[in-house]
Amino acid sequence: MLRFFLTRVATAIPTLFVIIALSFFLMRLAPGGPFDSARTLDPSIAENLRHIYKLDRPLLEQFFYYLRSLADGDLGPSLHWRDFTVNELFATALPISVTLGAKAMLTAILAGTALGLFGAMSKGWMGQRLIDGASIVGIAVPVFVVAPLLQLGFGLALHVLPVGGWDDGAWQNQVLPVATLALPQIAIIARLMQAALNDTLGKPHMRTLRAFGMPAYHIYIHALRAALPPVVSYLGLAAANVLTGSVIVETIFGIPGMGRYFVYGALGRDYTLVMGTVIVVAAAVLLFNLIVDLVLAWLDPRVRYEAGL
Amino acid sequence: MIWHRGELGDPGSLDPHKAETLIESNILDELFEGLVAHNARGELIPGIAASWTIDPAGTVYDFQLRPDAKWSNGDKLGADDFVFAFRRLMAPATGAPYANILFTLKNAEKINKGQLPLDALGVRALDEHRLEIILEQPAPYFIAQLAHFTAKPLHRKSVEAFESDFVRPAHMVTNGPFMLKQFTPNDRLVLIKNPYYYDAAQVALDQEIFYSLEDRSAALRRFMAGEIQSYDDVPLEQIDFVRAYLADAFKVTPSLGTYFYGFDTRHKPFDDRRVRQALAMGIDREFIADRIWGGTMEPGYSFVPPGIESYGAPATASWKEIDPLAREDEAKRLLAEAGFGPGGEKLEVEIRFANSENHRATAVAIADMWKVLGVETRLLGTDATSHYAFLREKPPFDVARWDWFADYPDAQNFLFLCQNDNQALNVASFGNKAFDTLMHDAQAESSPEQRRLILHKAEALLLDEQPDLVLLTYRTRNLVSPKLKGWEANVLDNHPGRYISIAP
Repeated sequence: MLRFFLTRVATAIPTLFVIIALSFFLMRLAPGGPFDSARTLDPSIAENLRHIYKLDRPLLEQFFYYLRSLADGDLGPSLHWRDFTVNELFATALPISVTLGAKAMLTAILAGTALGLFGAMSKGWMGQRLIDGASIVGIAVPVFVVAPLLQLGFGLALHVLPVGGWDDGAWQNQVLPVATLALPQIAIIARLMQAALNDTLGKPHMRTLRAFGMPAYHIYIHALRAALPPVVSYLGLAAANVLTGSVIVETIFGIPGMGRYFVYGALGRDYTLVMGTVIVVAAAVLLFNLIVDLVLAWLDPRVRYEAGL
Repeated sequence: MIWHRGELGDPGSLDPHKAETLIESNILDELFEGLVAHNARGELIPGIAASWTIDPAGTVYDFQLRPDAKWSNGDKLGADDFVFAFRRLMAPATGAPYANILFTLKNAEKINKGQLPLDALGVRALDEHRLEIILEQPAPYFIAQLAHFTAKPLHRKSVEAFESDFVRPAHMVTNGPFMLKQFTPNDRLVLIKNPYYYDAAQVALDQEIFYSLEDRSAALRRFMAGEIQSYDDVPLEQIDFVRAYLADAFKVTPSLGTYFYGFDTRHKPFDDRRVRQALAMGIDREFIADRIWGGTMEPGYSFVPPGIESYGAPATASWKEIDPLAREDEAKRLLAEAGFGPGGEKLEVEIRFANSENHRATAVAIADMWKVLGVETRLLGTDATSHYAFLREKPPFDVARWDWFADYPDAQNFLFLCQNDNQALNVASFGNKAFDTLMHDAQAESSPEQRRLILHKAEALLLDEQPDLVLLTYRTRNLVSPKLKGWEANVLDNHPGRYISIAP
C-alpha cells in the first residue's frame, strides 16, 4: 500500500510541473496585460510598471524566476489586489471555500445516499420515478437560478436568513450557500446510487442471499458496499470542484472564497493569481484522485488484486 | 451608527499612489484629506489647506495649512507630509499609474521619467504649516485637481518603516474622517471614525463598512433586505421593478461621464469629416438612452457633459434640433458627397466593444440605424481587457466604443482627449492644429471668462469634426435608503461619510 501511495505521489509531481509550465505560457497568449483597463496608461508609466513587476524581462526568464519563488512556497504578489500577495489572498479564501465545500459535500453524500437507497428500495415505480424526476430537476436547474430563489424565499419573504454576506462565517450566512452547492450534488449522487444499487441487487449473489432468506437490511448493507465504487469515483472530482470554490455561488452570496479568484484572475490578466489558482486546483484534483484510488482499493478486493497490493 | 455601503467591487489598493478606480477614490476620500476636499454636494471646499494665494502669473501657489490637522495616531500633520507624498507619487520606483494627472507640477514629468532628481519637484515646505507649489505652466483647474486621490498627504514615518505594507490595518496612519480597521478582499472593508480628525465632532458615523458586490441583482436583494443602506448601481433588466417599488430610494442624476464611439481618423474612410458627421447624425440617441439603458443614460449631443460649473452649458451638435427625417436626408447627402451610397461604394463599418449586454444591445441598435443610411455594420465584442489592450496598441480599426469619467470637474479634462499630444487617451488619433492651438491658448489664458469662451470654441470644433461620436452621457444610478441622511446626489457621485447620519 505504501509503495502504491509513493508511486502515485512521485508521478503527481511531474504532472503538476507540466500543468504549471503549460498554464504559464498559454496565459500569456491572451491579449492585453494586467495594466490594461478602461483608462489607457501613459506609455512611460506603463513601461515603468512592467519594469517594477519584472514583466519587461524575457518570458523564459520570468518563468524561471516564478519557479524559483514557487520553490520557496511564494506565489508572488497579486497584480490586481495590489496590497496583498497571492499567498495572503489564499490564506483567507481557501479555508472558507474548504469549509463551505466540505459541508456541502457531507450534506450531499448523506442526503444523496439516503435518497438513492430510498429509490432502490421502493418496490413500486412511484418511488423510483420520484427520485428520478427530482434528480433530473436538481441536475438541470442551474445554480444561478437556485441561489436567487433561495435568497428571495428565505431572506426577503421569510426573513429567517441573511440574503448574503459572510459575517466571519456565522452559521446563518452558511446555510443558503451550502444548500445551493449541495443540491446538484445530492441529485447526482442519488441517481448514481440508485442506478448502482439496482444493478447490484439484480446480480446472482444478491439473489442467492435473498433465496437464503436473509433479512432485507442485511442484503442492502452488502449491496451498498458493492454499489459504492462508481459513486466514490464521482465524488473525487466533485470534491475537488466544490472544495476549491464556486464563482457563481460566491458572487451571488458575497462569500470571500477561492472561486472568484479564478475568474477575476483570468479576466484581469492577474498572472500570478491565475497561476496560483491553477496550482491549487491541479493539486486538489491530483490529491482527490489519489484518495479515490485508495478508497476504491479498500472497498473492492479486485482493485487491490489488480494493483498488486 | 454604521453605514453599510455596497460598492461594485474591491479597491485594488489603498495606497493613493497605486489607486486607479472610482471605488478606490471613494474609499481614499474617507481615509485621507488633501489640501482641498468635497462637500456633500460635490463642491470644492478647503481641506487641510485653510487658505491659499496664487501669484499673478498663475504658477505659484502658497497654501496655509490648518494648524490643528493631525494624523490618526495623534502625530501633527504639516507641509512636509505633502512634500513627501508628492515626491513619492512622482518617483519612478513607486510606479504610480495616475502620476500624470499631476504633471501640472513643475518638473513632475521629467522626474517621473527619471530625468531629474526627486528634490527638483516644484513642491516645498516654507515652514511647518506653509506649503508652496510651483506649476509647470498656469493651470486654472489646479485647485480642482488637488481633490484627486493622487494629491493626498502621506504619513512619512509609517510609509518609510513599512514600505508597501503601510496600507495594512495594523500600520496604516491616515488623516481623513475615518481610519482603516479591516480589509478582507471580496468581503468587506471596515473603516472607523478617526478621533484626531479636526472636524471629528461633526462626524456622526462610528463605522463605515464597504461591501464588494459585483452581482447587481444580488446587491438589490441585499438592499431590499436592509443588509446594505446604499449601492451605486442597479441591474438594468430590473429597472422597471426598481422604478415601481423603490422609487424613493432610486436616485438618478447626471454625472461627468461620456460614452463615445471613436473613429480611427488615421485611415480611409474615417479620415473624412463628412463620413463621421453622417454616421453621428444617423443615430437616434433618445431611443438608445430610454429603451436600451432604461432612462439611466442621457442622450449625448455635446463632447463635454453638462454640469461643470466653470464651463456652463456645453456646445451642442448643430443638428440636435433638426427632425430625424431631415437629419437622415442630410446624412445620406454627406455620405454621397464622400462617395458612398447609391451609385458609389458601399460603406462597411466594424464596431469594436468590450462585451456586456448593454454595449452589445447599443451596437445592434446603431447597426440598425446605420442600415437606413445604406451602411453595413459588423459587430466585434471581446473581453474588456482585450478591448482596452487593443485601444492601447491601436492597430487600424473602424469604430471602437470607449468612455471617459472626469478626474476633476473641468472642461479641459474632456477636451484634452482629442489633443494630438495625448498619446495614451486620444482613441481617434485626432490631429487638428486649430484645435491644439485653442487648447494651448486656453491653458495660458488667465481670465476665466475668456478661457471659457476659448474652450467652447474648441468643443464646437470637435462637434463639427466628430473624431469621437458622442452617444450618451452617463447618469449615476444609486440605491439610497431613505434612512440615510445627508446623502446628496451630485455630478461627481462622491458621497463623503463625514456628512452622513442614519435615522433609526
